[in-house]
Amino acid sequence: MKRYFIKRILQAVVTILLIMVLIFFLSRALGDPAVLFLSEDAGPEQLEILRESFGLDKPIWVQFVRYFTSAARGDFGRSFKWEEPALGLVLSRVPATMQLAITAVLFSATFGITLGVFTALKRDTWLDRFGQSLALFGQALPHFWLGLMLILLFGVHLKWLPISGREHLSNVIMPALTLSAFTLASVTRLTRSSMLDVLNSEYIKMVRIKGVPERTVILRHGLRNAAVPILTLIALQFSYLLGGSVIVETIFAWPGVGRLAIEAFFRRDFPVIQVVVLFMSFVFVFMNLLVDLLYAWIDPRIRFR
Amino acid sequence: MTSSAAPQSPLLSVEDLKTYFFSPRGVVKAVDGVSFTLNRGEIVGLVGESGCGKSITSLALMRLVPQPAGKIVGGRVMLAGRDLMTLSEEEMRGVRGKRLAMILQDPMVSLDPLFRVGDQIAEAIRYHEPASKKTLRERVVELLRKVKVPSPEVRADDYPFQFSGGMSQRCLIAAGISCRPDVLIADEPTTALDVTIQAQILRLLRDIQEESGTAVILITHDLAVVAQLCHRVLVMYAGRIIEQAGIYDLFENPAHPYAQGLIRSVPVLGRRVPELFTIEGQPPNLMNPPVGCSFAPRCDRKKEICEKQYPNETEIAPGHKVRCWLYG
Amino acid sequence: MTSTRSHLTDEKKALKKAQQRRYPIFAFVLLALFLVTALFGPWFAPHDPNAQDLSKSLRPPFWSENGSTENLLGTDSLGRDYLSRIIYGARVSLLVSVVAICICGSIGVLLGLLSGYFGGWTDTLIMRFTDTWMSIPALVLAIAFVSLLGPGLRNVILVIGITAWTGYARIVRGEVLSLKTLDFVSLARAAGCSEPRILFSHLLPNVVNTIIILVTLDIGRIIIWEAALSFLGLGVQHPTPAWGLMLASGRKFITSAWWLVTFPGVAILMTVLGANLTGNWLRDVLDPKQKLR
Repeated sequence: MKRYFIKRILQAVVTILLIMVLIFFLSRALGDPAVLFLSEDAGPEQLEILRESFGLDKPIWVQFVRYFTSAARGDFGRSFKWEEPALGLVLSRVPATMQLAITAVLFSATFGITLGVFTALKRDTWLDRFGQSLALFGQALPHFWLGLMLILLFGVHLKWLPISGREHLSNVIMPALTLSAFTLASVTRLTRSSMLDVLNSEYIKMVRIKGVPERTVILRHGLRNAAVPILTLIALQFSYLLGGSVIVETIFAWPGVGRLAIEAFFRRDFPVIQVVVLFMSFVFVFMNLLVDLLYAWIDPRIRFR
Repeated sequence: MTSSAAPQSPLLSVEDLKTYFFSPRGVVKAVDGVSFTLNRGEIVGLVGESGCGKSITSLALMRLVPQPAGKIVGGRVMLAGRDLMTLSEEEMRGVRGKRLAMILQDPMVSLDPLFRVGDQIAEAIRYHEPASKKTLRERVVELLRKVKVPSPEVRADDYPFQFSGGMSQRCLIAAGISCRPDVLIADEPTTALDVTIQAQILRLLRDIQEESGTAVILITHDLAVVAQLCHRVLVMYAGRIIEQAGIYDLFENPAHPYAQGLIRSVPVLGRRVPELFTIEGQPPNLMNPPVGCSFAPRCDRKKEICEKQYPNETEIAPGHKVRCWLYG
Repeated sequence: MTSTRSHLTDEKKALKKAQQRRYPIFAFVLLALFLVTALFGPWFAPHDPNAQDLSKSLRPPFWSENGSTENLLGTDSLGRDYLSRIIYGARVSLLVSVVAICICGSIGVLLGLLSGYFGGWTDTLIMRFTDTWMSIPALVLAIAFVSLLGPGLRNVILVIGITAWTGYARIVRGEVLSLKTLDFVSLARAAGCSEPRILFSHLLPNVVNTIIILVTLDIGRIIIWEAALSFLGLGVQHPTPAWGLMLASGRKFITSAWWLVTFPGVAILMTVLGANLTGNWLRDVLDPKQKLR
């Protein structure tokens, strides 16, 4: 099992390095950053000064090496507009985003799996049809619209919940709900089909033949075997959640990394955007690593080979 | 092998069992009026080609027909005086594993890959005869020893993927006999195994059966297996039992043309023939079975009535029944 | 299990139930509505979507007080008829989704074919690249791209096209991997077909079913994407009517003019729902292994 862990960790590290390389080349390839970061009518001397100060005038290989060596030191450049190191700026907003994302994941996973199991068990009954319709609906819902509707309903009309900022714990409810809608729907659908697959297998038939109570069949044998694809989905959805946080944070004025990215975009602050991209990718890779380790715990075949 | 014990009231009595599968395209009459009995201590073989309905019959006895398409639409299954079709789900669950046990065909996919084998065998016992963990453990090891799994104390903690086909099947047998069931159904227990292992498993089944007196329904398409183990044989074709007889009677005097064809098809070691014998034609489509005898299209001795009406059951000798217009 | 106290099932009832077949009429209607609106909208839109009239600014829908049948769904802050803007918005959504899917579909399918068929280093390289690409949350990647390329309709299509292909690549690769082992491929090779011929004339047609399903299921996602990017200000710019953009502009007036943020969203929801349901139905029809769920 140790070999499996080490292999996965190494893979994760390689992926992260590849991402950094990718970002580097993309940013250089898609245009002269200097022109983008100032405005179109900046004079040539201003551009030169900018280039020099950010090392953009050196040959590409020098830039590449500098990129990695500074990254190793934690230096991802300074934000153009905020006059702070980009990394520090992003990190300060991380707890807010993590709070949002993790709440959304927990919410989607819990309700999604429960609803998925129920609809699988009550297959073809009205409950199943209702649950499935709800899930299909949830996948068609644009999350930004959902956020606005929630604000309209609970914030403006009913005035039950706070609609912006992060002062109280209750502030996280609406943003998290908005963010989790799509994932909840997807988890429900996948859980249902995964459970149905598993419940039709030979070994489940065997368990029933032994006279095991149905509840145990479903929860102990069924769910555990169905878990792997569900976990995979949740891990993949984390990427969507991180991206979605950009919109949700904007709508609800949540002080997280996503909102920072948008602000940086409008101020043409590329170092910050770059750090946000890297950070979110790192988180995603890390989440996948966690899930891979979780697989090993669930499935002994992975552990022993 | 002697024929079965003097007739007492049969242990298991199946009357006119019908199991159909409903799909948008039509109804498949997988089991269409199956009747037979099973006595204490008997090994009965249920023989037929793939798709004739033998597996579904066994699942129907257990009331575990694949949902939602499959449904039992008729029949009675009397086990020790109670009709299993009238039991509640909870009562039926109490029967499964305890009075009626089953072994499936492919042992490699019949065990839950995520749990230890010992736990899975213990599971077969726990819900019928609750006991302490320690007792269960002892019983599991004892059972593994009985089915001749080497180093049972160690292997009980292994996972299914660590077992070979033959060993897995032994574990399933252990689970099957764990509560000393009245009837053990073995659905093609050796089909997925190597030939050498097959012989071992069959020998094991016979030994266990002799020791415990459990009645066994052995489902197979292999006549050789039947010849080795069974007291009586039921021959199934297109969802119905077309002939039933004691083992010697069937092999020496097969009555139904299909049964005759089956027995002729088995090549005899040492005897040369210019061409291997096969039965012409294909089994009927169970969604639109022909009116009349389902074997008629392939039969070389069919009469006019064969295509009009399904033959009734005729007893041509004590204990030897056949459904064929040649006899009734 | 079986149903009554006797636990036997009535044969007739079971047959009737099994034969019920459902077509997603609802889905087809929604999808048709979208297509008709997008393609023929200008013919039945009541007003010019860009015609401003500040005297009519912020009128509510016709069923509210102060509403009028002149502007069925009300007007926005510049007095432009909302219904007309929504109708014209459908065109943007259709345009973006069609072109973007063509781009990302082509990239994804091509990479999937190459990766699955050639295997070895090609496969490893392409898959690594795909995994890396997928590791970056799509919206964030889009922001990065738009910040480098600039906003606008054309760029948004491009950006969606180059970020959304990963799903296609993976799935097509999977299909090719299993198809590769089938006899018709070795027969083609034995007959002397060149590699490109095998790829495009033999493998591709067999993957088409899957691609159709993927595309139909993806339309909804792409439409939401474009709306999201426009909502954030990264996409379509004023004064072009686009649903996402309308939601963004309407946000300022959420406390006073609820219709501004409601109707464009409903339009998106209905369109995506129609596309998704149709995609599901297509998948059930074209891929029988997936049926019976």
